[in-house]
Amino acid sequence: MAPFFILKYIRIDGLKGFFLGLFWLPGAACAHGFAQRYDLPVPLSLYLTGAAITVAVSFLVITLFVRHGVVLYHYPRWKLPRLFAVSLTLKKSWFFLWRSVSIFVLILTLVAGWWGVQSPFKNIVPTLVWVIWWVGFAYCSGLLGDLWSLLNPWKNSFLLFEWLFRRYLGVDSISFYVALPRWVGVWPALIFFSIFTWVELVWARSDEPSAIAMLVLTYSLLTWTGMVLFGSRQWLQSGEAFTWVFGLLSRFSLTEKDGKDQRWYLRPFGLGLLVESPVSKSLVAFVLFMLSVVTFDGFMATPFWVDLVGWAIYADSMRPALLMLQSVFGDAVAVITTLGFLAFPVLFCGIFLLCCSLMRFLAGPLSSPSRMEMAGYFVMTLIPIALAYHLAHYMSFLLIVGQYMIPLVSDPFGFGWNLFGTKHYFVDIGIVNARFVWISSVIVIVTGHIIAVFLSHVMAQRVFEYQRQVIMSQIPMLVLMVGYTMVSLWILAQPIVE
Amino acid sequence: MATGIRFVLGMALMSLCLFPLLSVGNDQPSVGEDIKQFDIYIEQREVKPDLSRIVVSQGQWVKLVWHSDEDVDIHLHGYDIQRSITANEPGEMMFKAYATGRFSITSHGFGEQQGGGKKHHHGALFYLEVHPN
Repeated sequence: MAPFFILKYIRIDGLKGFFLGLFWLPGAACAHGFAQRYDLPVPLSLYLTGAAITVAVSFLVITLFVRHGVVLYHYPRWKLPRLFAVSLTLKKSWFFLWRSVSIFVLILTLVAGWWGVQSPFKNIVPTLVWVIWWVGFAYCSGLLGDLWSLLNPWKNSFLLFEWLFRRYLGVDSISFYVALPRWVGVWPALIFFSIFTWVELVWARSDEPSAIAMLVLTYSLLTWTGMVLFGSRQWLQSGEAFTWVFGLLSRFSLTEKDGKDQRWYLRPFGLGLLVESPVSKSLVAFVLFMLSVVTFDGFMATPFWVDLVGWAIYADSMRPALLMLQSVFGDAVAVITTLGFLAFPVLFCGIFLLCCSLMRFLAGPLSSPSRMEMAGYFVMTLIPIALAYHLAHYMSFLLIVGQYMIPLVSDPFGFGWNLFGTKHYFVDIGIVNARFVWISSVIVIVTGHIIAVFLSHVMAQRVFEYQRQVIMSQIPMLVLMVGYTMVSLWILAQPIVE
Repeated sequence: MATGIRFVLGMALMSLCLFPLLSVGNDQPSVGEDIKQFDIYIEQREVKPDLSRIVVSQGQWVKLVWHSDEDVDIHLHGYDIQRSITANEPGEMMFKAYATGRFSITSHGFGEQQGGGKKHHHGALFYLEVHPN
């Protein structure tokens, strides 16, 4: 009954009703549900419907834009009003609060990881890192905006270090500002991101709290060292992997910040992915790698991949190589999975560059940009397809496994605490119905495809001089996008296998 | 929106969030409710004959009857139901399939009776699929 007193401080009546509802219904004091639930495969009829719409829309876009294209240098946008919810996030006076929260979460991850109970379900760290941060933040970035620039704990802690040194030691700056050559690009960020995704997808210890804490500490030290050597701004642009991952996803989102008036604007989905000049080779590689791991993540759970790994393990022809790999690396399955993990980005790069070559060929190579420039112009237009697949694939995961945070915030270390009274919350695995997931997944994936096709067309209008070139160049890109979307739908239609 | 409506919406939202939980704790089917029974045989640590999945409808009562030639612990994930099965004695799991999805059923501790906490056998024995109506 004690929490009733809180109601007098809650001004929002809807919230008052929400909390009263908590006590109206019978108490849910049950043990944790060890929720391990997978989505049902999308039924064939829905898969075929999605595929048919994908192909039909692609041709419709070509037909609509045959005569008059859309260049869209200036797209519609609306200044975000100073609403309470928006001000809470964006007002400078609140920045201190958000930055402190991000630093607190980093410290909590390290402390709980090292000293908490070493169980993936009793310790807050695995759920916080893999579900709330890695999956949840990707959702926020892709839909809402670049929240990582505000909540990056490494950037914020470095700002704090600088302030402390300036205030108490009179030192102006703690960076050496060594200039990075232009060719470095985002290659360091790509290397760190590839290690991170290998840990996520392949490493057997990725759900151990202490292992996660060790990795977070290592990455923190690397990032701070980079910031000291090269300056915070330069390192964030070159070496901080998540600045790029969440930053790229946020280009799809609804919001953008204007460099001139520093105000936030609302814009249509996807238009932030349009570029005025080709992006660098390293960024092309980063984007293609990001797309490939999103797909590989789903592909790894299909019967096709599991059978392939099974064949590789048991085939007589593979035995000598396998024994050799096992003697060097220990775990043959991890080695085979790593080979797949590395092959996917290579495959993606090969297919995409081939597509760019075909686009040049059909548009007329003499009057077209080079293949790498074409890649630099068009690579971002593939992001909506990958983001849509990610949103569809992880929807129920976030809603179900995300519920673990409710008991975990009350007992983050697994010591038996009950800080907020939610320790005995029962994870509801029935919170989403399969039919809702199927239909919304197919709608999201088809919508992502439509946006990607539209963006690709707009880029072609910017790149090529003649309408005929625009249309001809889009044929290979459309085939690629339809194929990519079909792969996403196919993965969702597969029964998930452990 | 009017104050009263906001209050009621808040109550409704919480009710919607927690209503599924009302079905939890119903341990037995009501009179007249069908129970779908599956007999599963484990021989030499594998399900015989080969079984990749069991399909039931949402809301159905399900009874899994286990027959094993060794002692084993069986775990139905998601619903989080665990049973220790004694060799050559049938063991039962009964539950209402209230949540749709694909749930793995794993085994561990072949040959010795143990509680939870031991690492599972690599991979699932088979999957339970609960389809929407």
